[in-house]
Amino acid sequence: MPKKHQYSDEELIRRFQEGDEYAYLELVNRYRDRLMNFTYRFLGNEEDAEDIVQDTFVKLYTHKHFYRNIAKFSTWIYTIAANLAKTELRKRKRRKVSYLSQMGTDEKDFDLPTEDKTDDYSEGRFTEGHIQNAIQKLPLHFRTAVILRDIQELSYEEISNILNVPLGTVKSRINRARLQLQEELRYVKEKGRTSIR
Amino acid sequence: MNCYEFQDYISGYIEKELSLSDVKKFDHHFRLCPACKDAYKGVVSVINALRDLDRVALSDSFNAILQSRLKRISSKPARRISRYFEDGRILGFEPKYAVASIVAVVLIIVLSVGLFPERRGPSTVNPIPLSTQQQVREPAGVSEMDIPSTPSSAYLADDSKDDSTDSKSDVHKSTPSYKGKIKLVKDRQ
Repeated sequence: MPKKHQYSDEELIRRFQEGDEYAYLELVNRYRDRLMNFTYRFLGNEEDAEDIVQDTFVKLYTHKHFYRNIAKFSTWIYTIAANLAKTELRKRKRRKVSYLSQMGTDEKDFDLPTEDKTDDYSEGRFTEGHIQNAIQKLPLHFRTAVILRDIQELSYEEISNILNVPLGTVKSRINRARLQLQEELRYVKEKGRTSIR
Repeated sequence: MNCYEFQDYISGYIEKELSLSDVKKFDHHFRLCPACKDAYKGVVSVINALRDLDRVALSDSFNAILQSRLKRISSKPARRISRYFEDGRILGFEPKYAVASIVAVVLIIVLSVGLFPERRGPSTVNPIPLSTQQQVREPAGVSEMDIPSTPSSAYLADDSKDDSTDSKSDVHKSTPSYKGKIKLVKDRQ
């Protein structure tokens, strides 16, 4: 749970809009770790995630006057980060396509990296890597919703504002994402048990 | 409640958002269906696993990199266009007033164009009467024997021939009769 602060996020952004650079630094300190976790779970790569967090704070700095006091600051900053992360994924997809098109047809038959099968599944616990892999397999709109809810612990209303979709859609996306994750992880677990035997 | 409905309600049940009657139906199905029971348990463990994930830390150089990027941005002179959109204002006005004034200017231009219809221009109006113009042009005008000087005019000439069934009579139709007019000029002289 976020700590109680002397100034609310909305007060800080107002002060920053009036030229107070310390207010900006305070906002960076409040959100840097949360945004890092969000972008890392979304992209699955620490370096890219950190770049996106950097870009988010640069955008906050250069576009401070675009914030209007009608929405929560957290909603606004998460929207910026989510949009930048989606753009990064699109860029990656393009890079992948161009890389594959540059390869010869014979070279395209490559093996997927094998998963580590030595982990302990018997206790019914999933490893970090398996969860991260399962998250990466979710469609983008499910992925964003479930990360914001179950990792970032935001309310349904906040997620609805960030994704700009109705509350009912958010709830349904989160439920379906959880079901898909449990299917995926159950499959991993069963596969693990058979490999241990 | 069937299995599909049960799965739709899992998150609502966990987050205590279902009505009492739905909770009863959910519990009933839960007792009867082992597959749905497994799905429910799986979702609960997924939620717990997601909440227990380790926090990823930023690198130590994060703040230093950010500050150097911000320094670079603030040392850069404002671009020409961005100067007009500083501090959330457009040309120094509140956005709504700026948009309203732009719309007003466009409307004024559109209305003034509508009120004063486009004039054809003085070059198209020839003060000399038409009959006099014809008389002046015709003596030096085209004779029937003129050879087309450019390929395009030759092409046009060919076309006119192709289109007509009786080319000679058409030429006479399309070009005015000179005989009477030449006479008129001679009479005047």
